[in-house]
Amino acid sequence: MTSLPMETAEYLQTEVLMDTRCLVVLLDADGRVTGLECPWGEWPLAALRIGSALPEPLRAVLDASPPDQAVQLYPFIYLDDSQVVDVHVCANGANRQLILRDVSEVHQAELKFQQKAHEVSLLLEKQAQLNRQLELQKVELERASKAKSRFIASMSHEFRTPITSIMGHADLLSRTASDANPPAAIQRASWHLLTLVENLLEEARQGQGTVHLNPAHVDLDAVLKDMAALFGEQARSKGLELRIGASPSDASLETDELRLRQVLINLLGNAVRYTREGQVELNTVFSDDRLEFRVSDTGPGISESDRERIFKPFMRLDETGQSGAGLGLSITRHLVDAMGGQIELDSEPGRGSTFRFTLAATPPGKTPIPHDLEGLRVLLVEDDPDALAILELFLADWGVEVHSASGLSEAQTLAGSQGFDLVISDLNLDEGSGGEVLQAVRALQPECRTMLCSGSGVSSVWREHYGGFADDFLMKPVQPDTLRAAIERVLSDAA
Amino acid sequence: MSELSREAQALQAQLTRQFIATLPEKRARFEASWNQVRASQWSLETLAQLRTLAHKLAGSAGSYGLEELGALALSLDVALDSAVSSKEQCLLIERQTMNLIEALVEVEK
Repeated sequence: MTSLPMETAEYLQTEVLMDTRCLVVLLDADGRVTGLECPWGEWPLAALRIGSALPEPLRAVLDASPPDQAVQLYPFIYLDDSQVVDVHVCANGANRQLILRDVSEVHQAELKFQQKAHEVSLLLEKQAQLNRQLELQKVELERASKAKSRFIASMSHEFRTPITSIMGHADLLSRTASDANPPAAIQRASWHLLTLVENLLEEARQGQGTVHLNPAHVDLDAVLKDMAALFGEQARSKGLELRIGASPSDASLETDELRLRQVLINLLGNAVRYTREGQVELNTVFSDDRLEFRVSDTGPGISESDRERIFKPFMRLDETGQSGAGLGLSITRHLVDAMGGQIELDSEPGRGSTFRFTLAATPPGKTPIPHDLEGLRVLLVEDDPDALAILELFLADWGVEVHSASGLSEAQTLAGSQGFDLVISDLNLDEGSGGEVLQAVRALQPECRTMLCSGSGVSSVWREHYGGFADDFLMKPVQPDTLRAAIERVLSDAA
Repeated sequence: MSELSREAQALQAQLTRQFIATLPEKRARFEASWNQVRASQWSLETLAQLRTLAHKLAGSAGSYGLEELGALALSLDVALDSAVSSKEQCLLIERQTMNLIEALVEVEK
């Protein structure tokens, strides 16, 4: 201590904590180390030796320090990677001293603290982000839940109309044998109810399931008449005019009647519901092998931005004052797609809406002409004895000469030994497939007509896979009229 | 035009009786097939067998005037159409199989 200049010793006492490791470096005028003093304890620093120059970091501190100030502090100077010191520069005439105070641990702690603080701020930011996301999800969930509750409430409400109608007419029927034709009204109300239930089921499947179609000849006149009766009362009570155009006389339509009715009920139901004044029209036009259905109204119209949105489940544009489940259009589009059509919408706000879709129909020239099936030679390929027996019965009753086979090889043998006018094969056989059978018979008898038959599938899908070698398709279960119609169609096409 | 003749209708009625007489045997096959599905822990092979049975019944029952039975068989057929991939689908198939077996019992009465 004694060799320390007074000012430095005082400064050590008063300013520098007693319990930290300190080293006083005495320097000559050139900045060379002339002495090293440890006021308390040992602190050997390899970089500092008496007689040698200061190591670079300390040299820089000394150079930066103005010579005329008594004491200056330069905190956190790195001597090397791990050794950190606070440097006090004390001036003592021409000679200066450096007091080094070991702050490595403090500095490490500070670094750690800063790192932690940084991490914490990152976490806070992340948490804020998650909170924002949660908030958004909550809003979205509330919206969805509201839409669902509204949907359930209005669905229950919608069920009421047809059920009341059924009950009323049934009551009437039980009291009087009236001429008001209540059974037809009951039937129509049941149709309506069935459609609502079908809508619900379709909704529950959320459009993911394949629509199961049962195509058959549709009595379009009857369907249109039912629509007029079903919505006539509702339209009249709102002061609307309901116009249902006559069906084109030259078109024959084959599709799933239940689905067609479901689509028309959905479209007409919406049109009548949302139109306040004017009229609702349903027209059918036949051209180019397509039958177009057109449902027009003089309602509020739909803006371009809403035109895609209305085809989403549970979506309804006006959430106040209108009854209805706000569904139907998503299902309608799904059903029309499944029937091989495409739904289109023309609308402008204030100018009403027109929904259009087309379905394949038989052209006028190809309307099936009744055939005498007497003596027709048919090869029937079916491996299920139950299905075979009933088909044989139908065919035999029409005077058809039936030969049956249970699989591919048997069919090939028969087709190789005698001629056939028509081959009807089941699609899923134990031995071979219906497709293979038709191809094999075609190869042997190119003039033979072909028909594929199955208990499942959609005719448009069949056409894609088997259209090349099957002239027609028949859905099981087979009824006499559908079988006969299909055979006549095939024979008409050939004629 | 597609009305059947009287003789054919009589034959149809007879065929229908014969068909109904085969239902206990069909039910037994459904039960056996279902047991195999469970015993094999839903192996593809046993599911395919069950589907074949359902598919055939779906195709024939309606032609014999048993539309409801045919519809139940069809819904099982359709349920087995896609690969069994979820517990819900298993439950659905199980329920539909049970419904179909119950319906077969009903018709037998």
